[in-house]
Amino acid sequence: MHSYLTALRQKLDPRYYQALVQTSLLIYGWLSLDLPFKPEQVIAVLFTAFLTQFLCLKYLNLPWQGLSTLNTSLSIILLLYANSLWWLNLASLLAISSKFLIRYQNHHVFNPSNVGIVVVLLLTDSVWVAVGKWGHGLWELMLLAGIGLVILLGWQRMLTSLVFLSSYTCLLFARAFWLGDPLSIPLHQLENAALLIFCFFMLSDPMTVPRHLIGRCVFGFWVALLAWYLQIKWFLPNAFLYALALSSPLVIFINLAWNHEPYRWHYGRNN
Amino acid sequence: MNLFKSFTTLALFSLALEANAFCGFYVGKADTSLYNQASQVVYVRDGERNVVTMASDFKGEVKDFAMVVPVPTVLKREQISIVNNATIQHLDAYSAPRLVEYYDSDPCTPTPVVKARPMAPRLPMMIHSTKRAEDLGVKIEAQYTVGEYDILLLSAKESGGLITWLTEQGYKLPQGAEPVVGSYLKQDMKFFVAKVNLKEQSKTGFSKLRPIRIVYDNKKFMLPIRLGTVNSQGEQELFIYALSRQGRIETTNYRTVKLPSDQEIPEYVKDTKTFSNFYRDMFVRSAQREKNKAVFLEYAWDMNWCDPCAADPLSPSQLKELGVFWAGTQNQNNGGGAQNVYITRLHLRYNRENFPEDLAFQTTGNTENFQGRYIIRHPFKGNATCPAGQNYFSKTLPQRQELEAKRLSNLTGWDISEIRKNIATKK
Repeated sequence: MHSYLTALRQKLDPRYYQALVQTSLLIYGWLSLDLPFKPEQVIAVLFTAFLTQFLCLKYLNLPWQGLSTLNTSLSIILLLYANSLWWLNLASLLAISSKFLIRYQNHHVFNPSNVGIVVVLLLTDSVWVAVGKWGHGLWELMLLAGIGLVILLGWQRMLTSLVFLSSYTCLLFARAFWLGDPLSIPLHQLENAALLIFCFFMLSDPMTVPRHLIGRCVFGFWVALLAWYLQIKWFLPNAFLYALALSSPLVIFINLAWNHEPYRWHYGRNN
Repeated sequence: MNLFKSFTTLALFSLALEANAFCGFYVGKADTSLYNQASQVVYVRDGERNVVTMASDFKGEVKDFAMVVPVPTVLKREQISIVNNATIQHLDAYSAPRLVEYYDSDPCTPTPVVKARPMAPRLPMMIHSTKRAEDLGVKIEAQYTVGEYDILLLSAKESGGLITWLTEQGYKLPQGAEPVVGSYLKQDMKFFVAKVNLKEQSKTGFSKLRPIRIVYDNKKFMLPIRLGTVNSQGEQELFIYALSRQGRIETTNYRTVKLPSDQEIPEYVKDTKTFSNFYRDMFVRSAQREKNKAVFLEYAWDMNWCDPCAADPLSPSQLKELGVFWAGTQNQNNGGGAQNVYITRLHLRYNRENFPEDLAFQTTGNTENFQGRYIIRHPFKGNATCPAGQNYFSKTLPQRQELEAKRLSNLTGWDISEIRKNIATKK
């Protein structure tokens, strides 16, 4: 079993799996949840993201690589809504260009889709993340998809996500316990598909999480704590997105404290 | 503890002093109300400013009316006011799902005649002993008489003391309220308690209690519903009219779903009672499709206009009455409408199981208009002997009516053979 998994991990780039789950979500949202993904928005995000990637690679004289760009674009499409295509274009532009512009020790600092979404959220009221749109009917499937990613990438690579989810769960239950609330309340808060999309398909990016296992634990816990705090104290509906964007620079320091070999995708370069 | 100091929500529920009369904010109307028990809340949100108007169509003895609303801070007198029932009714009528009718033209000389008849399903409209209070750890922070209401603002050390005090004052809180009250207290909430001052009420000249409006600044954008579900025998209806500058307001912890709209339905549904039944059953079925866990969008529109209008848009002065403080500050030459006000009408049927959490909202930049709109197409009644006319009566019309029947059955769950029978009777 172990050797089979090792072989699978070596052969299958997890980004294909991620793109498959994201595309399934997109189609499901379109067909079943009446989510307002418009074809022009999907095209705008994909076009800007791939154009930016192409131009940046060309400028740096690097070979073509587009799989991560597809993942980033799909994350933006799944989470971000705007009443103007320009904002979606800007989010895609910022997301992809951040990989090339904001770097430390030859690695990008921010999760691309996360920083693209958060910056436009801060810039204008014309964009929003429909965090409730996914409802509570999808979480089992999302959890399964996340477990699939854990199997594919290995628990070490997914440690940040696993620690984040466990910590966030504990914090929600601890608060409910302190308030004397029924368990149905923290459970309802956890059964949010948007949270699981974030946890398994954004926070899991092996390029932007700490390199060392201890670092990943520290980082996962910190993002959970900050997200929980921002939600309770500031009442930010997309607290987990802000928490990750605010915390990403900390990875540099965490890597200084607990160093380890940087991650490389098996296929292609690190962009 | 500090972490929760700025918990900023506003929760609301009302309770009657009669044992089983509690029901949140119920709204109904005097004659042909659609819902016997429902609540109406107007929520104006701009930045951190929250203006919440709670309408109650309490039908019992006014002396038995009471309302308990958890609020984030001790409200000052000027933060509490009374709103006219007519304003809420107007807002309800303006935003209610509507029926539109069209008349088929003579198929031999086709020119459509359109007559829109908005048909709002008449939707719901919805003392003390200081010493004893101190003994129980309850502090009367402030007390006012506003309009026909005697209002107290209470803080408490713990829920047991507050509940004991409220019970001693004649408020019969539903069983199981204590942990919920305790949860709000731990979140540093105060309790806004209102009873009717009979003397003041007789002075007002109104037989119906008027809505209470409160204003406060707070980050949190939410509406606590938990107290209302504590002892609920069944499901409760809640209508929220959310007003913002930017665009639609949606729930962040529950799915906000559009109610089926722009549906052509059989002609006989035009009858007021049948339309009310249609709307109610369609809502129930739509909610069931979402496993009763969704909030429904019934109307989302720029307050400057409507098409068709179930009622005129609210005037700047009506909007100001509801707390839209920016109303009328800009271009007012638009038929009395106020610029820059976007309304979202949300409807939910909730119980403790499906809606365990308070409702949390966010304002979005979505300014796409939406309305619950249902269409009746009246068949042509004259003689049409031309080939097109024969085709119309023998083919086009029966096919359309069959489609309408199936659609109606699908939307409401009504028996298709019964629908067909009603369509045939109408002929």
